[in-house]
Amino acid sequence: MGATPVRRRGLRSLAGLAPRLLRWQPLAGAVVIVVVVLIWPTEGWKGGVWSLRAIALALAMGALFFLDDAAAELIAPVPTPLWVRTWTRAGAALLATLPVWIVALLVEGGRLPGVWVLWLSMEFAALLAAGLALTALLGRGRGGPEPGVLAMPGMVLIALAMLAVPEDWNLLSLKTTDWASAHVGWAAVLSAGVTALLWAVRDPGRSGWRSRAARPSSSATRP
Amino acid sequence: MIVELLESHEDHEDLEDKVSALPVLALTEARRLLRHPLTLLGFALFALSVVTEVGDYWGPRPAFSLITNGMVLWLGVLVFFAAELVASASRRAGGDELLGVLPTSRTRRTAASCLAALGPFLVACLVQAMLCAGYAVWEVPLERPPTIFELASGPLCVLGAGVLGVASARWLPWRGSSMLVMVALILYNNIGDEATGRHLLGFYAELPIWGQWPYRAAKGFHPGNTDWHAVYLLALCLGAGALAMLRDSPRRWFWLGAGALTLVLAVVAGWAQLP
Repeated sequence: MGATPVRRRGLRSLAGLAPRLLRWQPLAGAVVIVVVVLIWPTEGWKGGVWSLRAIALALAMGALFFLDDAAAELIAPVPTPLWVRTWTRAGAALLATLPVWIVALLVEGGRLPGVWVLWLSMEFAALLAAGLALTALLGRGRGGPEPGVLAMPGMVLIALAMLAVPEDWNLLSLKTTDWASAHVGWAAVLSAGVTALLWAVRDPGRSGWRSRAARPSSSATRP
Repeated sequence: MIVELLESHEDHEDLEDKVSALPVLALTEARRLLRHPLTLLGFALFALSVVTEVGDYWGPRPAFSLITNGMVLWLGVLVFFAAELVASASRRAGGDELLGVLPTSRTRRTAASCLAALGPFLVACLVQAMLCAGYAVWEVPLERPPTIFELASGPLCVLGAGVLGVASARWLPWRGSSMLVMVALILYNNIGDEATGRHLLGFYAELPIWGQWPYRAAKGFHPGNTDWHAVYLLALCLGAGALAMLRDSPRRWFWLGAGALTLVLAVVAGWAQLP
């Protein structure tokens, strides 16, 4: 038997295990929220923009739980490095949320000016990247192996902060002119999210930065 | 030796009956809740929103909105999540079984968590008082001075958010469930129309009419009785507390009755606030 069929079979069995390996339930809850938002009556193109923004935030908050890994400390010494495990989970989160986002765009896109579909997709990508990066950073820091429950309110905080800042800095604007600064801001959020995710998934054993082994294990303290 | 140990245990139980640990626990929980990063950042966001409003949108209408419902969005939302995290911390850390063998019961810990919501509420009252003093010193132009009930609606929502966070942690011990609760609150908040005054059934109730862009001028107020609105919010706070206690208390009928009473009060006040 060649290496490729073995790899295929391994991937197939891994895909079959995905529901047990990934914390998908919060994302299922987020999809319910998406359905409610889509059927909730809103008026005009501004209502459509806010609906899609709410959907983007809900999906990002649901997807960040994909990085929860209750067995992270147990499987830390396995040959598969942390970055492969984390990026696999992040990729699964993207695969799970993308179809929902596309359906939402198809439903709401009819009443939006065309350019908003592109810009809102960028906002969705930036929120998703920021959420995953925040979760990975919390997991590496004090959040333990299941940091999603801390990262989720963190995303709410980020969204509220975007609303609270002065108008010149506001990323959740509805302006149809002079919007370059807002979109440069979203591009910066996306870049910062991806960079932070890259940084957070470095192997702690090689980086020399607060090795996991040096810290008390949360699982060891459980009865 | 065994007899002495048993006697000391009985003495301990007597002491436990006489000196309740509830105030001490409540103070400790309140301190944890107040020092939680989300609560601190909530107060920081409220301060930032005040600065932003003064800089970008200042006028009689925004000034009235800020002092009546500003706390609901910037502080209330984050206090809800902070209270949920603090109340669920022992469960998430796998420590509930360890705490279960302590003399202090789970009922008392839940009661302490509910009482701890008074911490952010009292600080919110203080912040509200400071804001009122600032309005008076700088002679902020308002269409009319807000009543004490209108001023109380912001801190009352903070109190309700804290207690509801505890109820959510007790009844919905699943990861991500607080997001569903928050979305349900947001949807419930949007059921009423401002023109008919039914928006007062929500929590983030806008009292002045926005008017035309840039929404700064005084254009009057939406219909509805704001005094009863504060009573309605208080009833909802008490109801959330009864709901949290119902989960763990052995006196379920008592808390069911208390919850039913607060529900009746909320329905009466909710009806009375409508124009």
